Amino acid sequence: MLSRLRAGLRAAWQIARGVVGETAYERYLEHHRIHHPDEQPLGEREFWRRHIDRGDRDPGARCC
Amino acid sequence: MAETTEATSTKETSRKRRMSPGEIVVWALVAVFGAVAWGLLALSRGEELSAAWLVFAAVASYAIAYRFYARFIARRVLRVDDNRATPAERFDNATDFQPTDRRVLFGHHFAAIAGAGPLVGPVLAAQMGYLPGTIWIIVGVIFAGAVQDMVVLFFSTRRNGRSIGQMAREEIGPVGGAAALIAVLAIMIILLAVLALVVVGALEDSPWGAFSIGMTIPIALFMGCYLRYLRPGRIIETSVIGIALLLLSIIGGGWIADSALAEAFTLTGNQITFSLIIYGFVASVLPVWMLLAPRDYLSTFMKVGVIVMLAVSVVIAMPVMRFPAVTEFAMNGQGPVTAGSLFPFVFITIACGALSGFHALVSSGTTPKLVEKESQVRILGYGGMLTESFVAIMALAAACIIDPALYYAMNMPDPVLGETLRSASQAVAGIGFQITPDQLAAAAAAVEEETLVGRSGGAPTLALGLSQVFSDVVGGDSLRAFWYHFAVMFEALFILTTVDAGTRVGRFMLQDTIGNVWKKFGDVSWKPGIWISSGLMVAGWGYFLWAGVNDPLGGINQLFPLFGIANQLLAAVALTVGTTILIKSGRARYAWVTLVPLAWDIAVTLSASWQKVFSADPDIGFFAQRAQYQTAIEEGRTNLGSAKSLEDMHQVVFNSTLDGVLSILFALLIIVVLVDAMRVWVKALRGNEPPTSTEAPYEESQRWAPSGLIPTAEERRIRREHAEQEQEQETVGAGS
Repeated sequence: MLSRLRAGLRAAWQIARGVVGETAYERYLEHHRIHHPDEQPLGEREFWRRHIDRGDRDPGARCC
Repeated sequence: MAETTEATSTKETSRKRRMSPGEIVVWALVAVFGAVAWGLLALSRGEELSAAWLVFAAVASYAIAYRFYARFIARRVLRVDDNRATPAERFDNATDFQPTDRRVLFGHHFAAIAGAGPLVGPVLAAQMGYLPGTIWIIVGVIFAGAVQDMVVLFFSTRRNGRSIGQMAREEIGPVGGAAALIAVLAIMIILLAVLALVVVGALEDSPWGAFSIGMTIPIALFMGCYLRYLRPGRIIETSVIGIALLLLSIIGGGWIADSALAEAFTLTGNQITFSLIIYGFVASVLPVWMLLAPRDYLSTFMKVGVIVMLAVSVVIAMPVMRFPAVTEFAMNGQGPVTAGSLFPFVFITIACGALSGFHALVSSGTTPKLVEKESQVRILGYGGMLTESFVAIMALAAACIIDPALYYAMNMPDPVLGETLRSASQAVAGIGFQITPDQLAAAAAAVEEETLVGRSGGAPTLALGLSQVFSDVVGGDSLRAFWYHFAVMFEALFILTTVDAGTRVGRFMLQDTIGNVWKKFGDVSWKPGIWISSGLMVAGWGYFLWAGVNDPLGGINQLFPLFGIANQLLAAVALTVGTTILIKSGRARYAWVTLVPLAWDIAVTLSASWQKVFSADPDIGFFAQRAQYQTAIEEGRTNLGSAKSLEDMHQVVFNSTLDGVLSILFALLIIVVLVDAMRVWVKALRGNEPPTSTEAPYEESQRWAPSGLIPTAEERRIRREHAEQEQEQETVGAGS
């Protein structure tokens, strides 16, 4: 019971992290591991810099 | 994303399933409960009715609509197919295309569609009573708004994430495409002006508000630098710090308001207007990481947090509604907040929350490139919009628990209310409500504001309602002022984020459009291009904002209907695209799903435009208004109604001409899109050509994922099987 509750909370935490976008680097590494295993992935700092700067070229629509 | 296994058992989930007796009982109970709630709302005459019934009626209706109607649309009309790979799976590049957990994507999608819109419209529509707004918000979302969002999301997903403009061009033709583009630009300009006008109404002569909103700029800059240089990627940590600073700045605003600095933060409407215009320009040319990204994080947190808090508080506090079900303004069209009778104006005033064309941009932009499974469009598109509708219902509930006389004193046009509490009290008495100047002063003192009179635009009214609800639950009267400014801050935060983001989106569209004729201008990193196009956008909404703030007849009163019409115009484009695709792909017998809301939307928008252009009542018709003032000027009069000088009168003449011309433009755009689309429908229905498809070719999916937010028992079983299969494969692999 307690362990199920803990697992549920952990899942909820991961969803919350996903919604605000904090998991982007982890997902990038995962993608990289599967699709480009031979290449060196971007470092964390460099990744986030590019990740946020993409917004300068594509702001994404938002409603009112 | 551990669910990436073969899509073998998907057929099992789509197999036809009858409802179990247990399910039938549960849904019958939900239906009965919903019917009781609706009955109470509709039949109550003068008894005390808790606002919680609004929430109950909404939730029961949403549940039934989601379970039955949304499912019908997904399966029968759209024919979602989970064996088909989505663009996220096919083009997965870990940036714009990426299969995303449905619960995460639901959060993203909701954060992108919901902003201040559903909080403002219902508050303004409350002048007709709670019932018309409630019916439109709930029925509208079920049959129009949520349908539009889901259908557009699905069709865009099938077309590799095409935008609504591109789909309009491909399905209807270049004319439809161009009309869609103009509609988007026009709505953007009016929307930003109206939203900024709401902020001006909330911050004018309010040192507390002006200080705490002003502080969001350095807070966002600090967060931006913190994320950029100190702790890249620590978004939650940064946001928690940001929110703590935000709360501090609300508390600090209270100190400022009581100190000698209050003078410096007491700004006039025009000072705030020009600050907003400058802010809008600077924010939209700065790199995203400095202001927009951190603001977005703050907004998302505040949005979700406040909405959950409000829902819980309404159910715990069960505040009694002070508004009647229907007021006389619903019928006589003399409503002091915005003029016009129930049909069509309630449907124009409440756009976001019931049917919002703007969502078509989100549903055909970012979200379709992230959807993992086609069947998830039901929870994302339909479910996401139901959630926004729920927010609108909450806003309506919060407005309807305020004393109606106070509501009118806050929301009638400034010039009508006059300069003093006495004149405001008399103005309210003039429309049949009683509130003494002392009571007005006491209401303002309770939230530590100079005055509440003339704080139109919806945000302050909602903030007052929220402060009542929240202080019933936490803190009592001592926290009333804090909660009021908390709510003002929360709305202003959304709006400033929208002002920044909207100016950017508009700028990109301008760059893209002008780039077709002048190559260099289309380069999004070319600085002069950025400045010119940002400047054009800001000049556009800035002008309407300035005109609205200085409008002798009240800016919200004049501009809000235009915003509603523009938003519904975009909905007409989206629903037309949906209908066209259904007909062209040989599903004409289901085309009513989008055709019925389209017909309603067009009836509403065109009759509203008709009245705005041709009505002989100067309160409603822009040209009648123009004529009235023009005649008065020619007769040598120097004041008329709330226009107190010749200059004011010239201002009215100019504004009403411009607004009237815009109404004509919007109406023409709708007619052009519709006629153009009908031509395509007739051609497709004649059946000389085989059904055409603009879909991306079929590819088998290699993934599996549940459809709804919570996996069903069957989905959990499939997931277990997949896990076991994977394990088996791994052990076999290790053995060989």
